[in-house]
Amino acid sequence: MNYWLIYNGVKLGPMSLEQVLAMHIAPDTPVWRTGLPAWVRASELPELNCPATPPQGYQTPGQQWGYQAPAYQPAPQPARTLPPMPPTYLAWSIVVLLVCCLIPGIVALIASTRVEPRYNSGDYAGARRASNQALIWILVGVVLGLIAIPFQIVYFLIAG
Amino acid sequence: MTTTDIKRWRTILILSAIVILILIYGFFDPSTHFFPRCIFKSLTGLDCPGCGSQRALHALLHADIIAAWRFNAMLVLSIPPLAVMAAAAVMRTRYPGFYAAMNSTKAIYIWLVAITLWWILRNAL
Repeated sequence: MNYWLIYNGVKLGPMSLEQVLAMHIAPDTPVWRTGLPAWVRASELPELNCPATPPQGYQTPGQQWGYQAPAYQPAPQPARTLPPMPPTYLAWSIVVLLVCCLIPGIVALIASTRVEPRYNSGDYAGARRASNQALIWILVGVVLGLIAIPFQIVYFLIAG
Repeated sequence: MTTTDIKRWRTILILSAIVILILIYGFFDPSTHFFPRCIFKSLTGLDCPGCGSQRALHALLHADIIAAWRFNAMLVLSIPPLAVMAAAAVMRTRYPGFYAAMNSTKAIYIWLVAITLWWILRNAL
């Protein structure tokens, strides 16, 4: 079961229940879990309000017989070091598309649609790449719009 | 340069660019001066989603909403949602879920569909 949080204004996730519990989030922190139709408050998910509940599967097998074999403990990435979701630059893409350059604006929008799915599936590097691509295409649009002016003048002077 | 310095310079740059653009579009009328023209329109004769937006900006800066609507209705209609998105970004720490919703993939697809519909309808009607 994967969880996502909005923590200090940034979206964190996916993380396991153990990682969420370890963060001791406030009851009104927005949380989303696979299968929920929308974000809910942490207080609405019963499994989050029981910080004392031991996570499943971490019982050391064989300890009840005194066998001291070390149990396999997968080390989950500490939730606080998970990178926040990179920006989508959505508003800027819209502005560039409507005011300036159509094609760069469209490409920027399409790049920004890839940010959230990649982030949600844990591909943080890919999400950052998509975010950077959106930004680059926004800048391409701005630059093209700016350098179009002297080209227009030259064209007008030649053709006029 | 620290991250705070870079952020400060970026804000200054963006704000200066916006002020300069407001001055340019406010003082000069795209209908009569040298402003970039639409390549799509010159190639196909059809309007792209942004056609008329520069003249619409000029009209808006002179408080002529009717003229702006005639030049590019989608631009005029987009101003309230874009203002809301800007507010969501500014109040990101206070309303993080709202900011996430405004920038979600779903929101982006809604914009893409709206822009495509506008593109088709403004040429068909």
